[in-house]
Amino acid sequence: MRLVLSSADLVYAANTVGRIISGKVTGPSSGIRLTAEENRLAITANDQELAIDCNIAAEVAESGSIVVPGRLFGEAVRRFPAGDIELHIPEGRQVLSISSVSTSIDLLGMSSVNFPELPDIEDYSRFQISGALLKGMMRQVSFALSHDDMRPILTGMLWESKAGSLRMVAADGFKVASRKEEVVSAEEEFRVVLPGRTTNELIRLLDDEEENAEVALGRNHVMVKFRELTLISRLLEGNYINVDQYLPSKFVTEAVFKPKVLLEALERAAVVAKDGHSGTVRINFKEGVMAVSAQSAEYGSHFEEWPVEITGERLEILFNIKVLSEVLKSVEAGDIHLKFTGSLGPCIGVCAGQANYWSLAMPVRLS
Amino acid sequence: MRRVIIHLDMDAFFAAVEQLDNPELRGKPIIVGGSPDNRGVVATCSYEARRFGVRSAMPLSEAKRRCPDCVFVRGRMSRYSEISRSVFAIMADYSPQMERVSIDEAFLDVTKSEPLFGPGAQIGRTIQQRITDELGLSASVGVAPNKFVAKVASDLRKPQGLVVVPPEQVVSFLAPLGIERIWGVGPRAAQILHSLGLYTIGDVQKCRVEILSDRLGVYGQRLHELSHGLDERPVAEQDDVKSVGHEHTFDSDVSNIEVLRGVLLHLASKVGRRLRKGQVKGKTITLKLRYMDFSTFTRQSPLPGATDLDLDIYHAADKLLVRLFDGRPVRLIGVSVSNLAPEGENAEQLDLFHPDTGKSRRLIETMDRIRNKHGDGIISYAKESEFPPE
Repeated sequence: MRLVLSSADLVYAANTVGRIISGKVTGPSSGIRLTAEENRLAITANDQELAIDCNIAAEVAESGSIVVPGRLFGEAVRRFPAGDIELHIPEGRQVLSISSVSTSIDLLGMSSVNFPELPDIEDYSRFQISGALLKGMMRQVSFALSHDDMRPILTGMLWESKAGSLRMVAADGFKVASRKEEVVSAEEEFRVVLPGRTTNELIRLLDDEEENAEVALGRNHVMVKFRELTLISRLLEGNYINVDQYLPSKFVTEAVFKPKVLLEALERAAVVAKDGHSGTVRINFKEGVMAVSAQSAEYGSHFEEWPVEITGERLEILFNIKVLSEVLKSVEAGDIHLKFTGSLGPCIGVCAGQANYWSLAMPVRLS
Repeated sequence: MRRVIIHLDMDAFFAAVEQLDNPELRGKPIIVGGSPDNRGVVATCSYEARRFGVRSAMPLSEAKRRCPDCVFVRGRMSRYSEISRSVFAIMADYSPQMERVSIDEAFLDVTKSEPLFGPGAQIGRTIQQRITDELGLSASVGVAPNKFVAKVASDLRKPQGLVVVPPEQVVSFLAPLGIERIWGVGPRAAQILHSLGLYTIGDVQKCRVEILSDRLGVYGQRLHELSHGLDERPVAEQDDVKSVGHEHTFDSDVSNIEVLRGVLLHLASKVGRRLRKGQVKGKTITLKLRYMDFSTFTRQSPLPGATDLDLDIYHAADKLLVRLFDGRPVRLIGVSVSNLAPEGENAEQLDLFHPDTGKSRRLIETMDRIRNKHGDGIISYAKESEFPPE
């Protein structure tokens, strides 16, 4: 193998795939594969759950392939002076020689024969989507992903397609977020759950102005292609909860206001709400006034009230500050419309400026 | 202020209860703790057994060697608890200010009771007499101006001892006693004190406090105070409980996880019941495993929310067990709940997917009512391992 490419491209590729390799220098899933052919260099990391392949332009003189320790490779190329870099495997040796005009580092490598193959995605359904939209949908709901290993399916994000629409749902039981978009090209119906780690990597790698992404779904895997990147991830096994069946339809109290008003109040409440009540805030809705208060035996108390639009009954409800803040922050446009079912029932938040998105927060009870 | 403190300690308590309930055992050396073929330790032994050199906490096999004719009795904790409550009820007749130290030991501050019931010495004698008359058991009593001296006094003339130490005699009372009688003096501190030529409490009284502090740090100062019989700690029921836990030592090692689970459920239900009795809920669970080779591991995890429910505790403990258990034979398993807060002060995050219907709470309340009426062993979970009452 022998090729030349710019150090900037190589550093970008190493950083892109480097995120998913384990921190250890050696051992399984610590290696990355470099494959050179037809004026392209493909750098691949694959830990069997998630694989990322970054395919960049290079002047390839001899094709070839090698596996090197991913972390060392990243450390090496990041330290090279700007300019062109030559990658070369000396004949008959398992060594990757990285060199520029003045510098060279030889990394001991190994044969790529045993590197785990990327899974074939058979029986797939495919669709095209704006990369920016894909990123925006995932980013808006991802705050509700569970981090509790006891309910593994909820650590993933549901992607559901029906009649040309794509819906994403994340839920940990304390909060739920759902967003639906019309994606004309998605024809086949599907219902799959992507690991939270995969959606986080996608959010990271997709640009805010990303033009086009191609999504392919297999029985056990999802593949997302955009720019020079291909990301293949295992899907989570198991049935995702049908969140809609938990949604209330009757509400006792409703309030409309700018999320910022309550968000800032929650930040002030958090100053004192630190001890046994572990960040609990009390909110009272009555006759056009929203009163927010918090207290702790150790640190003191907080109170404030704001005029807001309220309909329905008076209501006192307690929330965990973090849970409610995340729900409020997920509102991207305009006022939030909060609909309450009672002091101990779910609270639904819809955005005035975004009809295809809703979120839900569960209150706290003193027990 | 001058205080009058009584310390009461039941004599060979568990063994005495066994002899009380079973006349055939009276006058015989008996050991409570289990069969000598098992690996438990002596919980209590009768005074007859003590003559053979048997002591509390001695391995049962060693006790058997020293006293081959001993009668070994398995403990009956619920019976001891019952009698214990009667003893404390008698004490409580003479002052509301009581501090239970263990099942068979308590302090009573009778300073304000003297105008009603006479001098502390007389109150002590009355309590002792009532325990003999009403319960058929014997207790030793110390009466002194503070907890430390009262405890030393009650221990001095067991069984059935009554030792009264007036304030002006405290220093001379302590002087001839060995330093091991001072609270906090263990083998290591004793060794240090011996190296300084200090053997009696009187030696410590005469020793300069700087020398003690130099060798024993902050404890040196405290030791000097105690040697002069100075102890200001109030008699107060210990209510700042930090955790509630139970553990079980197996008669023979267990490597079957289903058996461990059965025991775990039993322990979890005991912990849950105690939490509910104390009206507290806990947020952290700790599992303890001791393997055959005595290597001991503990693992902690947060509970899903503050809880006092048996099954919440069990499920969290079981998850830890699955992670911690490596298949080796287990000698001891224990579970405890900590991070406690009173009921009504726990913020419980509600879960959309697990709506609380109150069913589990109603079930547990029913079980508690049945237990309150008929005793703890009357109802249990099907999966719970069978245990003799401890």
